[in-house]
Amino acid sequence: MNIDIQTCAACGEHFFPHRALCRRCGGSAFTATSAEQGEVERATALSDGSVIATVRTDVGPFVIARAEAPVEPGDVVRLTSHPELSPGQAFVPIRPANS
Amino acid sequence: MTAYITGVGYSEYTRRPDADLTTSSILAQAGAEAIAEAGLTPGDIDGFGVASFTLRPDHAIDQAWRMGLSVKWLMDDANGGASAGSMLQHAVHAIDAGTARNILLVAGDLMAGDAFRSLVAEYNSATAHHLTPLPMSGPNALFAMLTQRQMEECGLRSEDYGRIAIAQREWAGLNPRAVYQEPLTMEQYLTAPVVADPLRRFDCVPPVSGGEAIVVSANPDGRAAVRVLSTRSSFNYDDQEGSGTATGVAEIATECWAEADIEPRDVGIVSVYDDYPAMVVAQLIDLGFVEKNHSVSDFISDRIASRSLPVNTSGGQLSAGQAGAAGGMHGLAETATQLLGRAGARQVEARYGVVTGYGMVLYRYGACATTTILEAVR
Repeated sequence: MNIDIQTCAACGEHFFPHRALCRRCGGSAFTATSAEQGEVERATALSDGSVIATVRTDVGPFVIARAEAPVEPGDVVRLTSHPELSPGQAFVPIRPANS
Repeated sequence: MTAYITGVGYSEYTRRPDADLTTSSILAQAGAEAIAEAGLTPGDIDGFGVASFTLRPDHAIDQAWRMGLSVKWLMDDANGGASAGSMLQHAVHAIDAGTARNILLVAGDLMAGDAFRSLVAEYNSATAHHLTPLPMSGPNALFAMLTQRQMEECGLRSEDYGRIAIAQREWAGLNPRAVYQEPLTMEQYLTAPVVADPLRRFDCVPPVSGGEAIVVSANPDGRAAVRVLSTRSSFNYDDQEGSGTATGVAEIATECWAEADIEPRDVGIVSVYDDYPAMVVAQLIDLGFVEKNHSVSDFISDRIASRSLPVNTSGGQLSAGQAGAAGGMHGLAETATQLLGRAGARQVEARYGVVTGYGMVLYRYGACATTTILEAVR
């Protein structure tokens, strides 16, 4: 569970999706910070019934996620990189390893 | 800045391309028409730029070769809906520098079979890694959320966006090249199938095959032409950390108006990039067409729906169709055609025109924007 947010090793700035250089300090070394949950900023229901949301992670950056059920702005969702969702969770696809 | 658009060319937009149509033939057809309309021959062309998603594995040099062009200035532009403005900016600089005298800029795509689905699925690595697996197919959901933000910020309702779609469809009824020309009613707009709440079918562009081209020249040689008064670009203006309801146009518009030495009220023809009605609103605000503290809903009713301000007179991409990377050239070609006095039944009276480009969704919304101000020279 939870998702990795890229963190600049030099200045601590957070990014998602990952960057090659830190926008704030230009650093090129990064670590990861685990985001466990976030607050829904906006959500939209698609014609197939799925719910896509913009979520402000507890680490900072926005992520685009698929929620398990309809959500409203202000709702808190738990973030996961697994597409099989439990109630209250939202799926954020992460970059495949070695790509 | 002394550069002129001297010719505009088209390759017909179509929902169902013939089996023998290729991206190369689309670009060549539009290009040849633009060269002829400029009163030039291929031998006069000494600069060439291409924007296309489906030309691969070919590039500008392959297409130049296939079109019989030998040039001293060449570019590929990969900025989607901002590509035409981006190419124009480079072309004007090349002409100012004396590098080239007659530059052909073409944009177009063949959206046959699986082309559209695979384009949106692998638009860039962020999309391929983080959006397509959601699953999400194309940017509708992203622009649905952007539209929600704009509705809240500007106090807009679905009917306001409907007025934009309906007005553009009225213009499209006067454009034989538009793929959708039949009138659209508010009831049809509001009851169309939901794509991504609040977006419905007529908020989304129909993918088509086709293309457009322009010739940019150092000298109009006594012919009707369109002078480029200002053209600027903005890339990655906010690092995808804003709301998306303000675009990069907001960053460059003030400089463009100052350089052109005119104001929005002087403009008689506007083409703003219309991948969704919300982006029409966003860019008109960014350009300064909506007075501060003025109701955006009233502006839509009083200026766009009434068509007293001619906005997207081709019908825009919402009614004429989105031909891939030609989406960026669409409004530039339309505005130049209007200012050349060659717009047929939809011809408006205008001396000045403004065009925006917008595109390349990095992760949440478009990161590229262009603004161009043009003047008819007859």
